[in-house]
Amino acid sequence: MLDRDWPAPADLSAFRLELPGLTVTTIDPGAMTLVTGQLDAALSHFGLDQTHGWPGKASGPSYAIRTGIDRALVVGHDLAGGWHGAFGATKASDALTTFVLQGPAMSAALLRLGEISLTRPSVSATFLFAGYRGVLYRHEAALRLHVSRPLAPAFAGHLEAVLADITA
Amino acid sequence: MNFTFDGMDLTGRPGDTIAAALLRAQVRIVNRSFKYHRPRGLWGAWVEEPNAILDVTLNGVRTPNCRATTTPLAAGMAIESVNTALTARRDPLAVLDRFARFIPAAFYYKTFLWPSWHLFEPTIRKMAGLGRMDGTQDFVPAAPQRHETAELLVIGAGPAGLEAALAAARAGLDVVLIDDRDTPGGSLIDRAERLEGQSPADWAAALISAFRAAGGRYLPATTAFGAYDHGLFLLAQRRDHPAAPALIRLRADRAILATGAIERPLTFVDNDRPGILSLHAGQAYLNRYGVLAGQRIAILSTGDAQTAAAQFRAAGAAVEVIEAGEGRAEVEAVHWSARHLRGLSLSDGRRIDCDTILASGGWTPAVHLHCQTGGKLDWREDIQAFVPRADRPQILTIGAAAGTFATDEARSDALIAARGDRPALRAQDPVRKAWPQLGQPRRAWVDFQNDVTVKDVELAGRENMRAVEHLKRYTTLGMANDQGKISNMPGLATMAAIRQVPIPEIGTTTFRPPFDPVSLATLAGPKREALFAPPKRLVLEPLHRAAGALMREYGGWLRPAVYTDVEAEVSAARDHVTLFDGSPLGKIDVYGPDAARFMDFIYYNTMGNLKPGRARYGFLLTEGGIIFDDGILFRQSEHHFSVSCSSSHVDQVANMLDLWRQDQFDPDRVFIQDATPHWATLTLAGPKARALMARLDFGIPLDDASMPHLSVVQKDGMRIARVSFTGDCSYEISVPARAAAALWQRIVTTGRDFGLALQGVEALAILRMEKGLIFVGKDTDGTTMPHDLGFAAPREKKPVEFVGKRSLFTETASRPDRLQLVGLACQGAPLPVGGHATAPGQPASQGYVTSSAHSPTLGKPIALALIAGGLGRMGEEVEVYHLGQRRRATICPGCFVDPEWERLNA
Repeated sequence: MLDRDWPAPADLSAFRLELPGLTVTTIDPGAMTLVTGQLDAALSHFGLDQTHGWPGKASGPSYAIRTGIDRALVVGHDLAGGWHGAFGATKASDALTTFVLQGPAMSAALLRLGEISLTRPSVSATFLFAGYRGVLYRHEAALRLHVSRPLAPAFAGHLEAVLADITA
Repeated sequence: MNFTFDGMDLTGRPGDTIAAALLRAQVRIVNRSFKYHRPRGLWGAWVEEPNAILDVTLNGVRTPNCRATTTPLAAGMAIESVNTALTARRDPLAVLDRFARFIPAAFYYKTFLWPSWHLFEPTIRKMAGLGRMDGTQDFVPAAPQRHETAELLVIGAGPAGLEAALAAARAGLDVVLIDDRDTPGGSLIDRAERLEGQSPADWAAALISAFRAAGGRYLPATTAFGAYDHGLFLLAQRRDHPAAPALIRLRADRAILATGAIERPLTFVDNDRPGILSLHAGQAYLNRYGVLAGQRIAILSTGDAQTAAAQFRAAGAAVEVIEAGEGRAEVEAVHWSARHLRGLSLSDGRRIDCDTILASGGWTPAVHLHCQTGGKLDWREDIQAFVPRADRPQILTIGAAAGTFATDEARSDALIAARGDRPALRAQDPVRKAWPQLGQPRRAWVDFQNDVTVKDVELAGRENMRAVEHLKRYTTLGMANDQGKISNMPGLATMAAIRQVPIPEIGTTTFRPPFDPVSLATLAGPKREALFAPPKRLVLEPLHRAAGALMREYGGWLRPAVYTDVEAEVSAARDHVTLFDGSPLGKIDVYGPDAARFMDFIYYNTMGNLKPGRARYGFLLTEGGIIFDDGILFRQSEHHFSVSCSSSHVDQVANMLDLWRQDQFDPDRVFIQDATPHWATLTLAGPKARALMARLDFGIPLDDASMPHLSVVQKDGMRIARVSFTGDCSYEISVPARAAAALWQRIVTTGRDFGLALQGVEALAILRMEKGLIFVGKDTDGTTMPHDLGFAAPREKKPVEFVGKRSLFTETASRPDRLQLVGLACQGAPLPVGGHATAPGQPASQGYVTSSAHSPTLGKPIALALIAGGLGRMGEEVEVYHLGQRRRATICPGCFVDPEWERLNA
């Protein structure tokens, strides 16, 4: 594998996958911050009242997604990286690529992404998708899925492969 | 539907399997046996088939090792037998059968030892194996994969499974019913057993309709090949040949196994002759495909075969039913000539003329899935079979799989199981025993696929391979596709007879997935080619490519290996300044009031006394004291550290930190977060780095007092650190990834006045080697401790506990002959990496070369090596042995360039 010539990665800002009943695109959701520590204090700092797990439904431009027992991803708020008395903040605006899945075949897409079901809730929205760690939640009428930026080109290819046979 | 078999043009019918089509075309010899190359015909009609494993080419795609009984026929198929030198009918290697007495079980363990196994290996490997791969063929298309969940999974759409699934669905459960056949009905179809006045197909179709109407999901052509913990079942869903089956990972709250039973062969002399099928297979070929197995049929059965006989007679065959088993006449000979079965002779003097023998030695419940989940088995004397023990709370087994063979009883039990209750055992009429007899004059087969005979089992017994697992390994009994489906019970019974103990005392081998062979393409799914272990990508990759970089994988990242010339890049780093993309370097944030104490515990070196804005090099150890990783630790503020670990170890280090945080610390006072993906890190290194930094004007003081080596400042969203992995003055500038391209361009433009060159990973590998700086995992191995690299002070002086501390003081850790990192100086070409160091003229290895290259700075080869007691052997000469060649080298300090480290502040 060392000598493999990998093709240049696709420009994910223009990524668009059109499938029967499903459209997958990427967006820039704005500032993102990973917080860890006392989540109540962090939420209070950002003026948010809750974190969303799976299949929690976020809305609007700013919200918090629970990613672990004492971790959350705050979308729509920026904060200096560092220790803030009760929680640590790590800038993540450039750490994650955000995919949006939309359309009537979203449920079918979930079956191909991982062992994920709308009827099986989880406090954390962090999942493994065939080895890719990602954060998945409902946002208004769509699904949002954040994956680590360096692996996002491969994950885009993974999406194309696993969703290829999807039907509405 | 036209197809070819071994070059013969044949015709089948829609709905045929390959096996049915071959039988319809009166092809009796479909293959050759694995070891003796004896002619083999069909034995079974479904997954139990051991012989008809064939290579199939369709539309230019060759698929090796298709089981003829489960592969639907398609027009245009070119089918070839395997394991034959020519064809199934004519195989010159059949001569091997004449030497059978010289090649019994395990003969290869005892022969081919002299002069060398490797002399015989190529020929034996060529002869072994079954189908042939087409090396010119592209990968078959990826098989789709998906996940499903269910409250109840019912496996098997025979009468029991259908009843259970329908009842559960009507009770409101979310039920998935699967069956490996295309149509429901299971054994009812094979036996043409009418139910409630309907044909089996109509009855089953009606239940499927009702099941679906109740909300159930029915998956035909789907085989459950693996059962795992927590209700996970792996299912293979057949697709049109040659597409690999789809994979479904189904998680079920509970499961009902209605997997039926498999008919056992009778073990008599020459019982492997083509034309000898299982009775059930004969019925299945007749009732499913309308194919009569023969015109003159002898049925040998331990049970009631009159219904089956009537079916064959109605189809036009002459049938003779012979009672088999204990107390009945035994088969003394099978008459075979001119590649045709001619009849059989019995011990009571009868001779039966026939072209086909249908044999039934009883039934073996299909317990594989139950056992794969860890379920145990109980022996039932009445049916002479193992059945699932009631030890799996979430899994119920019903019908023939539980030893309940009568259809009405199985259906009743299904209704009980659908409610979640376990049906009571039902006593069955005792079956006549029909186990293999010892001491037979000629060979009788217990495993058709692996060519294992009663004599082989007897030999295993004589060689004291009497435990069932030893028996399996010694003889290969039950291996490969068979997985014990038809060979297990005859093999166990034979060993029981040898040991003169009851069969249950022998036990069974371990059942493991897969129940039925699964294509690798099914298991791989989309994770193949570019999606198999894909590397992480740099945000600056387009700029690297535009600059002509050769991109290669390093530690899971695709990085610029070299832009123009490695040695020129090294020289530029020593003479001027280079720009290097160090983005993959770990940046793991550690926060909290106990962060400093935590860092002291995690690192070999003392870290808690670092001042904010300062950095220190250190090691992370395993509990065994072995170097796990190394790198720089930055203290960003009082309660905030950044762990800059090796590029390839970020995930592992982050996991390690979290493990110790949760295990040894108050998790409310220490917190971990990996920040690596957010940042891009551009590294300037070389004697002109500081001047270039000044020209770039980041607004920070650069003098040694304000920003000494091992310091860090944060400025305008950037982190600028002064650290070095080349030995020259260096700066790491970390910016959010989206700002990296602009900064890179700015540095390249500004750097022209300073002779700036782009530098790839290969040049870095030489630069750090010139300084004796290590790559963990390359210059260290699974034994290396910090004091083996000369870092002994913390081991001797650090007072507080830290990971791995105790292990640094064991007898092994204190041995003087430990492998220690040193340099090796030599003349000529660079030493071979991996070459073993020996004392001159001696064969014993004293260590090995870990890194080696030509140093452009010194104009000579340099190398790092782990040498036994190396730190105390400076100046000593060793030989480096590699692939038969020896080179002389001298042990020296690992730092070859600027040993006083004066260039750091140059």
